[in-house]
Amino acid sequence: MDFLNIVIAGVSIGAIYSLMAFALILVWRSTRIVNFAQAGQAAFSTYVGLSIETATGNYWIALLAAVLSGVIIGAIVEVVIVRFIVKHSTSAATAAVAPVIAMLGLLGIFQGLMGLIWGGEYQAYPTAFAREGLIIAGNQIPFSPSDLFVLVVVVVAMSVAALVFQKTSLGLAMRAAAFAPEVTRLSGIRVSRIRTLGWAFAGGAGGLAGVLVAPSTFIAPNSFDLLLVFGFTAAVIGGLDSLVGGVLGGLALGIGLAVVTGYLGGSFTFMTAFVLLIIVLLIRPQGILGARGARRA
Amino acid sequence: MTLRVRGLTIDHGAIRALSNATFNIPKGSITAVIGANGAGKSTLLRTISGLKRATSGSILWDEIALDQLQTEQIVRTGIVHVPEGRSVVTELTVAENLALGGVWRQRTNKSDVLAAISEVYQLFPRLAERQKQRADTLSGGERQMLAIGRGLISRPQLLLLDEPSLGLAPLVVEQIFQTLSKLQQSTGMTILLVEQNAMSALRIASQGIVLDQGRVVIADNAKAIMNDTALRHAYLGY
Repeated sequence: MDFLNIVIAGVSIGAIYSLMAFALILVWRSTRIVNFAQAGQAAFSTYVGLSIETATGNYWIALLAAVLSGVIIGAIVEVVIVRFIVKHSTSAATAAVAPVIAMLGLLGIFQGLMGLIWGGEYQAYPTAFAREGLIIAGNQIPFSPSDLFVLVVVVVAMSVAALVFQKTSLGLAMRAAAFAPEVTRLSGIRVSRIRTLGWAFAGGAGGLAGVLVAPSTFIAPNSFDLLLVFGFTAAVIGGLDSLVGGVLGGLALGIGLAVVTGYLGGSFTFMTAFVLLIIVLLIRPQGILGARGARRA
Repeated sequence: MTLRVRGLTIDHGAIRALSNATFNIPKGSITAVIGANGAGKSTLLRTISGLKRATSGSILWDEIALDQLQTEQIVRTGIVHVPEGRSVVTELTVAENLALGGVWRQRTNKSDVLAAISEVYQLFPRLAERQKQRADTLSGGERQMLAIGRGLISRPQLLLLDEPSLGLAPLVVEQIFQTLSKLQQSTGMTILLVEQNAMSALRIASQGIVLDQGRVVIADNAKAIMNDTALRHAYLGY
């Protein structure tokens, strides 16, 4: 396999990591919590999508349902659980630990629930387009119509998000609340609502990532745990606070892991992601594009 | 509208920040709250704007009991708090920081938000020159102007200013205080100014309130406080 092919193979999976990183960063910016439950939320939304697909036979309605359920689940998690954890985490020590443990617990709850509702075995998720590599000048490349679809969907989703963040009052309020919640409240903005919205948007992005990745990973209650790890790695590479950084981090990670897999074999993929994560944390904890003081939390 | 503070007691954990304070802030005046560091000045402002809750006592804004409202709602009653430390969103541009002050009434009164923004640019031309710059590239004085400007976009009837002179060069302080004084005269708004820099604050104020270890020791007209040598020695240290 030549190098260019390997890079191409990494782009669309990288785009999915970007989406997951985006979800984690949104939550981090709005609440300063790393949402480990996102893997469970995304899987739950994907299951909802699968159920709708089975019932209607329509990929697009299923896609929409998955994203919408992601939005709703995200909002519910924030309103029902996160809000109270944040309120009761008054000391620095509890504020650092309680949310992490709570999110891990929530992940367990989601996985248990999914097992109860949909069973524990792996199920296939359909694609909208063919998964065979395109043939260019007589050679098949490792990039299929389905990969192209993934890439287009992620680019469109990210462009819409960028527009909302940069051009609307809501986006302005979300950015301000991320960096200076007190000043934002004093400006008359209901920061608690902005937080709920942040979790909702993140949930939608996670649901979308789930539907896009499920055809290759299959869907089971814990099948997105790796996606979470890769999304988190991408987010940290980009510097947790920077949405653009997270997106670039996802693409870089997707391509980097494809290169490692291509030259060293698939058994190195998982390890490489962790090594990368640790290197970034050691050398540049603020991430590649992270704002100064991103770790001030 | 008049702000009436009655028997206000505020605790900071085990420390009593304000003890049984009672005073009025008359409409259309500048009141300077002065006193040493730790006298409870910032805590008073944070409680008025709803960031902190009082232990006992009440704060009435005409008929509105502020202790029943959230910070975001208090802004809607016309009280705007500019906290200490040049509180701007450093990650946003100058224009975005100002726009932030108008988001809550953007939908109902967009034209007035735009008018308020251009008034702030007239008041502080330096900000107009730096519209597109991120707030963390501004000097300390410019940041303070931006923090005040952000507050003005909400069209306050009562502006709560916490230590606007903190860490700024005397000339910049003078400029900001003169601007505030002019602004008060042209708009008729009420300003509650918390300051360690007692002289500068009293010079533009009509009323002064001296806090010492959480107690109101004097509430009088500003000139009388400035001319009272014994009082100045005892509480203001000069």
